[in-house]
Amino acid sequence: MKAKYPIEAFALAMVVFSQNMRNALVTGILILLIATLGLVLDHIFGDMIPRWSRVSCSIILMTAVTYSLFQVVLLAVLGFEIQQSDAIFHIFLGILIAKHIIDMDGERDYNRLLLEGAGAYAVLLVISIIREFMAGGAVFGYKIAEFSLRSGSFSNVIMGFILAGIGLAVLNGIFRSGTNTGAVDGFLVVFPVVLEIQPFIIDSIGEAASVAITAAIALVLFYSVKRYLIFSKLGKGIKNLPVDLVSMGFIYMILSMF
Amino acid sequence: MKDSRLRGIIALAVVTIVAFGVIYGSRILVKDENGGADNGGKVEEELPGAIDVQGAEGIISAREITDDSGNVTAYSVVAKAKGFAPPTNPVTWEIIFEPDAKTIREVKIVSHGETEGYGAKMEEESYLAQFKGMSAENGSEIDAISGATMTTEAIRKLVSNAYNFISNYAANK
Repeated sequence: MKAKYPIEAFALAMVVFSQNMRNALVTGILILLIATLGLVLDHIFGDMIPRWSRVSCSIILMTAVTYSLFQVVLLAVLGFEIQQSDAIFHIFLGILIAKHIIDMDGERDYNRLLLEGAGAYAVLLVISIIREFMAGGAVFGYKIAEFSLRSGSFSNVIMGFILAGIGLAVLNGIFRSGTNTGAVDGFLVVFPVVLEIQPFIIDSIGEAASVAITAAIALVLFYSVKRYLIFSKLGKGIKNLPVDLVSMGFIYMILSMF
Repeated sequence: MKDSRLRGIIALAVVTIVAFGVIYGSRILVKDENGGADNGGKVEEELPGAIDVQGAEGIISAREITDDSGNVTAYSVVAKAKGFAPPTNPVTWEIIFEPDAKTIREVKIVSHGETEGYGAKMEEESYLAQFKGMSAENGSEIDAISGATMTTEAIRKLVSNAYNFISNYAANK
């Protein structure tokens, strides 16, 4: 069964916007709001325009709305700082929401969207609380505990991938939307992350060349894992786990040693 | 069909109301915290030679250091950038520039939440020594910390931001 919520957008948010509860709280609800708005607009106006135009309109509109809404809410309303990398991730979020709207053609189910979307939002918040608390002993930016076990590694993208994988496995299990490696298209989640957050840098060459080489290495390793998984026989217990996303966490862990 | 569209509009209304609630709630919580921070800001502004840093990216405070006769002997810029630790605990440095607003005289670590053995290596004397006499124009040439890519990028960014701010200030003074 296809997921009725924008699963790739939530997966990306679980990887990069779950470092702290502030970002997760705003990101999750805005994804849900923009996805619902997009589906309603597509429902009302989609039939009036040809298919090719509908697809391009959805991508342009959703990307523009997502970018603008995040800028307005984070900068103007909440007064947060938006880093350049975050703004680029907002654009990718818009594209992933547009993909969901296009994929949902004729299968709109608003009840399931709200139910599954609320579940994904809750998982995103739980992941953010775990990561923020374990990294700094804080929740929503407020320090609540000081203990020796906390580690900055929880704010790293490695932990983002692993916890996102576990979170999506829980959601797939509850909503039965998962198949073999989960209903999420891992490549769409991994691609923006390797472009913006490289596991290592090569100082001896230019920045652009370093980014290209590092991203290429990470993507090749990811692709090889994904290809290999096609032939893997997964046990029932981990059938819902998006293994490719979890594997990407381990790939980042290994490459970060350089 | 019409009923389904109506259901969609109702769903959108529900999500919009919830979104407003969440964002408004976040704003209240963040406002409380900023209220405390404002007092801290006042203290910085009261320092002699304080420079207005409003709108400058990643700059917390800046000031001119002068001798008894009022001549500028150095510039101090406190800058921050997100490293490996959560954004609530950025890498924060004070950078002292020579009067040419380009050459770094000294750097001091104000705070950071980087991991021991990795990003926290920035505290080592051998690492900090490279900044003495360095031209901040060449921020991209700052040595990388092995195994701490994000910390290195944060340091390069905060040095670059501090340089851009203070060189611009000195040029337009």
